[in-house]
Amino acid sequence: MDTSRRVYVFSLIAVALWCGLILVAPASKLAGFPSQVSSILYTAFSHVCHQFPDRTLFLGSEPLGVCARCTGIYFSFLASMILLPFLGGLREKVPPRAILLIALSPMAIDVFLSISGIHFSTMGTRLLTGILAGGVLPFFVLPPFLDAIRQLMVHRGDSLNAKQTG
Amino acid sequence: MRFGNSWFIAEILSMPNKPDKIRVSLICGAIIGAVWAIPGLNLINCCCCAGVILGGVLAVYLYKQEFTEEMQPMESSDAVILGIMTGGVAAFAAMIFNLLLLALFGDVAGEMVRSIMASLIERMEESGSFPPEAIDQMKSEFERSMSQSRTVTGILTDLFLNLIINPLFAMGGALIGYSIFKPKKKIDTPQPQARQ
Repeated sequence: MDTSRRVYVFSLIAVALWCGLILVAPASKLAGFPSQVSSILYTAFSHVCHQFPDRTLFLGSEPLGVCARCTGIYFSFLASMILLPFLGGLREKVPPRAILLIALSPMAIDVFLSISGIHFSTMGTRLLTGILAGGVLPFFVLPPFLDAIRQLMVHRGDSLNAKQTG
Repeated sequence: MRFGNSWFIAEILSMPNKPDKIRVSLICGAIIGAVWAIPGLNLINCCCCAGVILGGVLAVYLYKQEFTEEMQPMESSDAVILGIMTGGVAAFAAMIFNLLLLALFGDVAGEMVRSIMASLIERMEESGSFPPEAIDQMKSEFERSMSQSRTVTGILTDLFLNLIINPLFAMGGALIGYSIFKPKKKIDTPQPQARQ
């Protein structure tokens, strides 16, 4: 397996783990694990999300680790990452910037309308706009990331060679 | 091997043919830290650390401005390193700004979060869609986390979590920034042949 594939698999596992922990936070509580487990996870996720209960999806009677919008972003990011190699997205070329703008605009509009009080966002709009944003992001993040790791490894090899010969 | 790694890290931080990353990461890290700490402004981070991600984008934008014609073009590895550095600085900056605000103005941020949470709980109670036990449990969990956040252990836990989360999200932002602002590859135009 070449470096890019290895880094891709590692990144995929890391993102899957992150998404899994979002579900583990309520699941551990429901399964009757010590409350410290869910408490630690909820505290950790509170650093990346407001976790307001009325804006969060529930697993049984317990809220997920993050709100509906963030859930949409992270899970569609993961789904998109899985599909990326089949769509040729692991190549260095990233899609046009306009696609990023189109994908992020609904979320920005939804947030703006909600804050301004013109139209309050619903669970559906939060989830959908999150899914749209998260689904596009891997196409802009992953190819340069894989390329960066490749560059750093080449540079590290050069650096060590120069040190040994010099 | 260890010496080799530290040599490599020192080398990538100060590449002679590229602008200094430390200055940009300090500026952007301080901005992210301030956004993280200032009550009201910090609400931007409620959506997947948007403030930190935007900070990463800003860092790449500012870094790109420092390149001159003679330098090697910006690479994606520069964006990754810059994002990680910016996130790391932001974690410390957030802690410093938080402590400063706490010392100067008291627990303004805490009061703000309390008022938001109180109105939320009121709304939940009015809607009747949540069982009263769940709301009571939520209240006690919230009060427990609020009281913990102002202790030394709470502050250190915050710093520890921020040192993991901020570099990750700032790196993501920097990679998005790189995709947006990356230099266009120069197309090699054929040199005009000298007339014989």
